[in-house]
Amino acid sequence: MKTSEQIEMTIDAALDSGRVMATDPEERELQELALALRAEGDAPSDQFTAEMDARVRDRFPRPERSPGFVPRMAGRVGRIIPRRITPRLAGGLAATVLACAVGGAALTQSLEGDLVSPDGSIQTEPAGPIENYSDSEPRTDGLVTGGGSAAAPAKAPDELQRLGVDRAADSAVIDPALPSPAGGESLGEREREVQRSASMTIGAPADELTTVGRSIADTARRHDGFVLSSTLTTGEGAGRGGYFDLRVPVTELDATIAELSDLGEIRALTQDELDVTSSFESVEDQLKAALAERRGLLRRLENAATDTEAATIRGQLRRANREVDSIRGQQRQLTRQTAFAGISVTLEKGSGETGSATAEAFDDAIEILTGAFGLLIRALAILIPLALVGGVAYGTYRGLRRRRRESALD
Amino acid sequence: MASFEQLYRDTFPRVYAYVASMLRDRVAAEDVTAQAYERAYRKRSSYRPARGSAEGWLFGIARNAALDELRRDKRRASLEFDPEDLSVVPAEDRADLALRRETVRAALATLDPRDRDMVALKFAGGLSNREIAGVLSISESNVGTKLHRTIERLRKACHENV
Repeated sequence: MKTSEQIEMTIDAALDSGRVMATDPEERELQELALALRAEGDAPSDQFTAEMDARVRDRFPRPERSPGFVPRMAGRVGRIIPRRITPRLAGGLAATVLACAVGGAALTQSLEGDLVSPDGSIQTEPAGPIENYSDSEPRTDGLVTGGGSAAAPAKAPDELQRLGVDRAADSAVIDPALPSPAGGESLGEREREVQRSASMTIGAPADELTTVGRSIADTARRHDGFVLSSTLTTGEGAGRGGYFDLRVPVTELDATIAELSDLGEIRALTQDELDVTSSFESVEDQLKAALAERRGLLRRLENAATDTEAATIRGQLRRANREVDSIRGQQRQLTRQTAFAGISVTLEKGSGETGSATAEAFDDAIEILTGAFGLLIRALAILIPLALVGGVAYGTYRGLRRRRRESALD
Repeated sequence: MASFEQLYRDTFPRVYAYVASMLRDRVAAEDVTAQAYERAYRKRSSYRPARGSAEGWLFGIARNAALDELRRDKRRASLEFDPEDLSVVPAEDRADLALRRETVRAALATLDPRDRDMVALKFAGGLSNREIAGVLSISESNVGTKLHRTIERLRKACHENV
């Protein structure tokens, strides 16, 4: 019994040579059968052969006819658009549509990147421009009162000095030792006294916390300020970070914040203003009253008739002096609060970059790619089922067509 | 495809023989053969060498055209062969040749139409088993097995007829 391969070889040998060559009776019989089967095939007539030769030579000319406008246009369109949507063409079209969708989405995301985060929420700009509070000029110090006419009795200067009374100082309500950014201004024309402060959170890479912490303190000093208190924790622990309580002249606040913003990623920034004009006025009123009382006591002391009366007035003067000192202390405190602004800086460990344009561009690129990838997955989630359904439908259609065609053999 | 004209020259008699063996009608066979070549010419850009030989692709088109013709006209391949012109055969060989051909035709008549289609592709079309597999959309080994069985059946039928 011969195998199918042996039979095929035996048959092919006869078909190739056109004659029976095998010596084995069984093989000879196969070859004779093969040649007989081939001989069964009809040959085309000479006339048909000549006709076909001519048609092939002329490249199967179509029948001449004058098409109307619509068929003519349809023919032109048909030459441009492939007549059959082949699987390769369909794949190409799908890929093009997908690429356009992803590209468009990426472009849109790029344009909106600064405003809309990947999750769709609106972002605020943490490191936005520093507002310029031009209407809140630092307080003008050196308020001059009209009181205190230096009418202290000339007869007893030594006595007054002994009691701690400074007539020159009494002529000014404001302590001259405090910062005085601007020239004197009468009380009736006082501008608003505003206390300013800011708090900010800066993110910096873990290995740069120390450097950034030092830079924060240096920044305060560069702007004529100081560090009131600070804490900085480094190492490998979870609580890495720091806190800095800074004081800078109010005129340097904006510049200081701008400089601090360059030290890392600004995660939060808050600026506060508190109007303390009424507190100033209240303290000044108390001071004027205390000074007036003291002046009255001095006059009484000059006119004292007896030693007992003078001793009593001296005791009252000492109390009046303590009162004036206390009020001036409050005034100094208020003046400090408006002359210096407080900045609370929280330093956190994070991926904060130090403002490198390349790093920002890299972040943007990652964000865009992530967004595009997300969109691609969503698009594939739609296209893949569609392609599967389309593929099954196409396969079914082809199978049915083949079966229907081959039904002619049944 | 190197050249459509070359393909035509290489295959024309075999395509005609195959189509004629399916239709058993000379006029219809000529129409379908011409139609198959024209269709192949118009669709030649869709031929992909990676999917098989050009001959296999052409025979696939011819087979589809022949099946469409059979279905359209409800025409069946029958054993009513056209009377053959034996005048060109030497007188002493005529009797032997006629006997042998009659035997083969009778054996072919015993085959299932699908097997006869495969035999026609093999012997009239001259296709390899791989090409037949491409035309019929079955595996090459399946073609080998089916051909083996069919030829065995033909041999037995021939013996019985003799």
